[in-house]
Formats: sequence, structure tokens, C-alpha cells
Amino acid sequence: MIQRANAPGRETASALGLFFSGAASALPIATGYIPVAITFGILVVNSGLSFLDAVLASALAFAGAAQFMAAGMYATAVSAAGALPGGLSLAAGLQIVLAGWLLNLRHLLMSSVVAPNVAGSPSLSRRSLLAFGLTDEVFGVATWRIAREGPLRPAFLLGLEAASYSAWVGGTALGASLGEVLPPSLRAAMGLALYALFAALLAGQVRSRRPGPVAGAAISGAALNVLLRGPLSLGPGAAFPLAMIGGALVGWYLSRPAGQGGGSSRNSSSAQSSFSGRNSFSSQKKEVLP
Amino acid sequence: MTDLTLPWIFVCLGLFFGTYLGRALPFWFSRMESLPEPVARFLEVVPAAALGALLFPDSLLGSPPLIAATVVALAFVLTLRGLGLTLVVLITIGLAWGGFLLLPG
Repeated sequence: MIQRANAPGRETASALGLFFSGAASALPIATGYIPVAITFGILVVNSGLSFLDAVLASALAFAGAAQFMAAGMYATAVSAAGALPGGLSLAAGLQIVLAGWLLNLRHLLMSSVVAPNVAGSPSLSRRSLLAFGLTDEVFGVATWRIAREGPLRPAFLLGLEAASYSAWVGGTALGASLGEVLPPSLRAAMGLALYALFAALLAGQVRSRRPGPVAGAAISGAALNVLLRGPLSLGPGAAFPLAMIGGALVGWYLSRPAGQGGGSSRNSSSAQSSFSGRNSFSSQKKEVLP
Repeated sequence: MTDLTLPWIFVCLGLFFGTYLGRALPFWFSRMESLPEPVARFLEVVPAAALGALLFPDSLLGSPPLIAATVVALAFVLTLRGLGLTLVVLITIGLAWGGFLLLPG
């Protein structure tokens, strides 16, 4: 199937052949997802939630960084209230969901790049299905294909997404079942690896975009969060969205095209194309989570 | 430990709706295929701001700060140098595990 889909007569390849060709293209994504998903599964089980809780999160959200954030905020909120894992307050729950939404707003941008590049105007239900699997990494591979070969066939995109999704959910299940077996020292290390992951993702952002605005956003986001949590003693759920919006505003201000706000009146088109717009995403690599 | 936890289910459903809506809107409405430039610029720096706030102060609170700071800095530098995500995660887990085994308590 894979050979057939890759052959020159690709235009006439069956939908099944395209599906498997897409699934084969997900291999680099899967190798990135599985260890991260295992870590997520372990983290969820470590915070007192169950195997099914971990799998449910990955199956429904399919959103790596937001899932890690939700699991971390959930554990903090429950332990701060001194409650059992089931004892989450409504306010804390809403804070977690709101923070996750903010973090995932970026997908709006990625979908707006891929949606017009799906060939053959598929039906509404198919488009709705294709939208579900569009993570950062799927976006990275999809835009790479679009740049090389033009619009994507829906079956190819579906195969790419289905294989990535299987790796993410399967890795979570594996991690969640390992979580109760591994020694405490290794589990503690994997909890810390979460922050290593965030640091690596941030480095990926610095690499794939203009470093100035990215660094400005990250540093101000971090500084604001430290300030809100420490001296202003806000809870993590309230502090995080504020710090994230504040940091993004700083990055947004730093990334404004030359000539706006400043005294310079020079044409801003070159500065714009270096950071904003569609081109800046095409260099995205698989260093970002779903 | 195989049963579902009710508040967590609602958190997952909430995450699903928000995340899916963001992914699906441009597939449903072709008008959203080109976002206004200022909005696109804001959305592009949201992940960096979020990651900064996710890292600090929490990374330094739960574990011995020396191990935590080393792990965070190493992961950042290795990725900046072009090492893949899988390797970075495996190396830092190994390093942190060694640190935890060496440190008493």
C-alpha cells in the first residue's frame, strides 16, 4: 500500500493507499509522541487519578502541553484543598479549562493554514473529522507536504492524523499502566522531565520563530507568574492565565512590524513576513507538542 | 484505580471543546482562513508566554532546585543545539533519576 501510494501514479491511488501513505508519514511524529505520552500517563496516575482518567484526557483533548498543564493544575488544586482526587472545586476546574483554551488558541492559526489546502472540498462531516487531529506536529508535517506537493488529499491527512493519535493515546495507556509499577525515584525523575519538556519546547519556539519576541514573551510570562504567585500570592489557576496573556502581549508588542508605534516610517512588509503570516509556520519542526 | 474521576472528566470535556473549536472553526468557515495580522501575531507568541509561565516558578518548587535548574537549562540548550525531543526527554529523565538516587532522602 505504501509503495503504491508513493508511486508516480499517486493521483489515482486508492483512498486506502493514501491513508497508509499518510500513516507512514507520521513515523517521526510517533517517535516524538510515545515517550512524552508515557510521561503524561505516569504523571496523571502519580497525581492520584486512574488509568482511565489518563487515557480519557489523551483521547478527548489530543493536546499535549494543555494536558500536562491541566494535570499539573489539577494535582495542585486538589492537594491545596487537602481533598481526595475527586474533590475539585468548580472554580478550580473552570480555571484549568480556561487556561487550556488559551494555550490551544494557537490551533486556530494552524487550521486556518491547512483548511484551504485540503483537496477536493470534502463534506462538512469529513472536514469536522480532519479538524480533530490537527496538532502542532501534524501541522508541521502537513505544511511540509503542502509546500512540496500542493493541497493534501483528505485520506492522506486522515492517515497522518490517525497514526499520530494512536501513538499519543497508546503511549498514554502504556505510561498510565507503568506508573504504578515504577520505583519512586524514577517517577520523581519523570515528573521533573515534564519541565525539561517545557524547556525543550520553548527552545523549539526560539529556533523556529523570531527569537526576540519569543524570548520577550517567555521571560515576561515567567516573571509575571513568579510575581503573581509569590508577592501577590495568587493561586496557580488564577495566576497562570494572567501571566500567559501578559507575556503574550509583550511578545506581540515586540513583534509589531517596524514603522508601527515607533518613529520609523519605513515599509514594514519585510519585517512582517519574517515573523507573522503563514510562512513563519512552515519552518516548524516536531519539537512542539500536539 | 480503573474508575473515572468525575471532576477530571469535566476538565477533559472542557479541554476537548475548547481545543476542538479552535481546530475546527477554520474548517467550517472559510472566512477564518486568513486571520487579521495582529491576531495572528498574538497567537504566535502565546505558546512561548505559556511555556515561560509553566516553567517558573513551578519547576523549582517541587524538587531540589539544583537538580531542577540543571535539567531545565540542559533541556533548553540541547534542543537549541538541534537535538530531537525524544533524546532530550530520555537524557534528562536519566540525569534526574541519577540525581535523585545520589541525593539522600
